[in-house]
Amino acid sequence: MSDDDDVVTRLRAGAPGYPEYGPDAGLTLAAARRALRRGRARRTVGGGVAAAVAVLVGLTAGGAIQLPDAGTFAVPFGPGAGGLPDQGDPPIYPPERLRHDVESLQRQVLPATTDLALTSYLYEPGGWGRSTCRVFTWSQGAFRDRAADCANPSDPEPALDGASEAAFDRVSDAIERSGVDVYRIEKGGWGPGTSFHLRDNSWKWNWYYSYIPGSSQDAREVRTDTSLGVRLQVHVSGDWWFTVEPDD
Amino acid sequence: MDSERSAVGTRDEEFLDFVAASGRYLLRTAVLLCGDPVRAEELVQATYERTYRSWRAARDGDPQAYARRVLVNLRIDGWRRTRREVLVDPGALPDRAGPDHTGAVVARNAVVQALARLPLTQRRVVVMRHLLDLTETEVARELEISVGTVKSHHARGIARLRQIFAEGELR
Repeated sequence: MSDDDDVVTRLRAGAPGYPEYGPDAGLTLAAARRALRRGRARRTVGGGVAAAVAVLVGLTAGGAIQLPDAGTFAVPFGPGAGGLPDQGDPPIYPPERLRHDVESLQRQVLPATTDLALTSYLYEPGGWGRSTCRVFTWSQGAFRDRAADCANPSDPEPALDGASEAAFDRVSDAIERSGVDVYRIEKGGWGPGTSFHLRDNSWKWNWYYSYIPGSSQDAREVRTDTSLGVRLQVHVSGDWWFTVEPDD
Repeated sequence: MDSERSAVGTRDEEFLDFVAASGRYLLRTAVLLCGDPVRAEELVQATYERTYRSWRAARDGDPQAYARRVLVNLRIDGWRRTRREVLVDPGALPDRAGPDHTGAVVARNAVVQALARLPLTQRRVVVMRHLLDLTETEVARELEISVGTVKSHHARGIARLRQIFAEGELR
């Protein structure tokens, strides 16, 4: 008998068995078909924009163009362990993509966050068995959806009122126009400056852009070893940085 | 055009059969990995969406193994950074998925609670080795890590579980 047997026996004996019912097959198929249609639409739009950018950069630079493929335009990283497997360790976008995203964020999203004095924005669309979750803190206070899977009963924030709904939509629209798939914005809650977090499917990494006014630009990149792996912060341009860090 | 429609019909019919056959397995796996019955439903949904997208590749091999590989590599714990920990009200659980095993009973299950205290990779390895009965080689392949890494995560996970179980007995 190995030393592990006692723990393994306990695991096997105590773990829950199979549920009585699985998911409804018809509803699951319908959701999968909707997701497939959304993905195709996204790739179509992403491919068009990426092609336009490629032409523009090609005309001005005349050199090799390194842009992510169309499939990664709106959803930054695929379902694999790290996404963008050939973009280094840890993986980051090519410089052209970083600059393009930063320009879009600066032009489309940053003005809205500044005008609204936004300090927290989170949008997670609802899914099967889970309702939409929106968290929004701005000049008029802190708000969040009160659905059971978005708020604990003890959370003090009220549901979004009319003005907050409008302000939230303004930020969401700006994000959509930017073409950068941001699902979360934090000011002062996630390191210095304002961070714009990218929606991803990776279990291994998180990626976000940061706008840090007055930050030192002496270093091109900062590499930090953490207990979970390397955290890499890359200077993009001006006061903008891009960070990839291990997903805990 | 008719053959296209027919191909879609066949694909959907195959997928329906697959969901019916694999749903309970994947739901249990998701619960073991994430410790939250509601989140487990979401993970399984995401798994099916991706499997449907690549259905041709999935059905050419073992579709359940394909879906399991998608599931175990999803961002299981990411939501905890974006949503506050939520106190799940058993009365508010949706009734589309297993009302008994995936509800309040599971949320209180000692093994599920102990697994949830492991770091994610250790949890993945322990669940796949002992509760899904995969070999070390299969675990390594599905997680895209080496067998040596599987062994070390496994050893640390089991040691931590022993400690957690012992703490439970002392209370």
